[in-house]
Amino acid sequence: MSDSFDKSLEPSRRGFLAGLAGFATLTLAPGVVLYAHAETKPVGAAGAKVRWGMLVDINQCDPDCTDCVTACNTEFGLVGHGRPATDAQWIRKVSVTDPGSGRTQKFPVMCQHCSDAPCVDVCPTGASFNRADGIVLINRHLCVGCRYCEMACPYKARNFVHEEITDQKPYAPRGKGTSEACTMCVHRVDAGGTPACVEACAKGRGAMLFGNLYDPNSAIAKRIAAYNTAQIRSDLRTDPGVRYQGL
Amino acid sequence: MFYAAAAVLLIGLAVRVYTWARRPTAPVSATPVDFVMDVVLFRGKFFDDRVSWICSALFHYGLACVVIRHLRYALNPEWLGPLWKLVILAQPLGLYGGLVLMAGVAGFGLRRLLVPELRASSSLADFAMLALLIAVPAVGYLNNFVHTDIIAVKEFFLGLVSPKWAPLPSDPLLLLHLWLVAALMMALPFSKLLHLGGLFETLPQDVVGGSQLRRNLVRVIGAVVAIGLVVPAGVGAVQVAADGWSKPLPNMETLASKHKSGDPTVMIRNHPNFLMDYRSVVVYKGARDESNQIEKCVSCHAVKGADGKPVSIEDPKHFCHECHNKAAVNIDCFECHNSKPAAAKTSSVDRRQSVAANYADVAEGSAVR
Repeated sequence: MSDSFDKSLEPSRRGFLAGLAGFATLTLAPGVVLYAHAETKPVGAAGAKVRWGMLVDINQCDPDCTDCVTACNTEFGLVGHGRPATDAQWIRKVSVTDPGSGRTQKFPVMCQHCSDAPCVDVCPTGASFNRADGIVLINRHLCVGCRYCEMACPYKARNFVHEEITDQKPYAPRGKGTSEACTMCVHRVDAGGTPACVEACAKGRGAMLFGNLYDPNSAIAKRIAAYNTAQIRSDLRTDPGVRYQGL
Repeated sequence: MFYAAAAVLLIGLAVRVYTWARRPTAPVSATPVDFVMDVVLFRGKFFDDRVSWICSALFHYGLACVVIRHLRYALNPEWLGPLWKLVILAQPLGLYGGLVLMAGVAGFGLRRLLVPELRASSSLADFAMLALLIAVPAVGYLNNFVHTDIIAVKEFFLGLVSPKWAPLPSDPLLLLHLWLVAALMMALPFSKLLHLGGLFETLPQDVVGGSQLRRNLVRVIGAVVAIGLVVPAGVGAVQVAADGWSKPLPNMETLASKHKSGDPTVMIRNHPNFLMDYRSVVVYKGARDESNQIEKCVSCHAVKGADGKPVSIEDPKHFCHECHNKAAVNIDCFECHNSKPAAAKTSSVDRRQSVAANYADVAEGSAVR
């Protein structure tokens, strides 16, 4: 989709978009460069590779704490309708028990932002896509609500919107009849911030870490290099961008 | 052009109906049920020629849908009151009806080509009429891809029946569509499709100067058709040539300044494209400048309700309804996007000023570069 979009640009429109890029850079130039603009600094180019990821340290995660879930619900205005089976749930606390030892662990699971994502594979309209920086998103202008992605996702990360929604957050459009999931707070990340769940967790035990997996100097890359971390269901070879420590 | 076209069509129709009425063999339906069977279900054709009946049904029902869709250019919402909602509801009907119509015409064309007897009796004029019937909706559909200012189109047509004339937007595809429609309107009374050729044969021959009258009639109608089609074509061509065949999309500066200061057509024409382009830039490339998000449009164009708070799309006063309601174009943006600005950090006036300041930066920046 991204490619065909580029090809369809007429010269004049391309010029218009270039002007847009210039506009973005100029207004931000006096301050910090808040994000890498695609027109000026292509994401994914050699040497400047970005892959956003998360690391959850399960040993640090308080089993009874749901701050990350609350933060997510607040950030995106996810409200329940008293129907747990269909209420939106972008991040949830999952409890896992080892049948051998009986040891139980509780930790948050959200969209794992796989590099080889099953939801992207099965999407018939190309609405599910991997962004160049590894975040898996849904273009809801293309989503027809077929729910294949929900079936395909091994992490049960995708939700279907069953109810009419009003008063959405401006940065997070949501609508009945489309699929949705954790966006890794892409609106914050694009502006140089961290996801809401990570921010909330940092105020507590700091069990969640967010950063660029491809940058060897980032805190998250150093931790992954130093400690034994795991991807959930790594046997499926979906290569999630979310990793767990102490699983 | 349209006065001439309408005159030819109406007079042609009137004369045709008059001659029909005079004819002793005019088909008459016996009961109301028969009438429905004859006129709505084309019963005669069904038993006479099944292929023709199918094509005929496709064409006429498609045409009905298309005509209903085009009501949005002919009627004002105020005239219809709550019924206007039906016009809005019927819009998609016309969108698909056009395809059905074209399928029907194509069927007639194939029939003429493939059935040997029919092919032998077909003249160039028959195919020309079918080509015209295909060309009108085909060019109409192209107008869906190259947006014109349909508010201006509507004002033009409402202007034709009011004392105040309004200009047509000079988009080649739009003008071609309308020109073809006018040509069709003028050709119709003389074609087999309305059998008006019979008109001249039915003129009383025994009247002194009957043939002279006939010749004069032909001359007058010919002149009206010629003037009605050639002059507008010339005017349109000059207008298009003067304005350029394709208008390059304005850059950010013109977009920002012009759509506020006097040239709203820039935005009326292009806002769907802009929104889609912005969507792609934001969603796929992550370039989330506030000026390329629909949020910005919503904040700047917020209309305050009775309680002083911005109204949502449910309210008829919402900014988007100003044109969308008038043109009966459905908006589905706000099924997912919020139609109200977020709790404002600054007032909308401040925001506008800050936008203006931003655009001023761009202007300076581009001058420097």
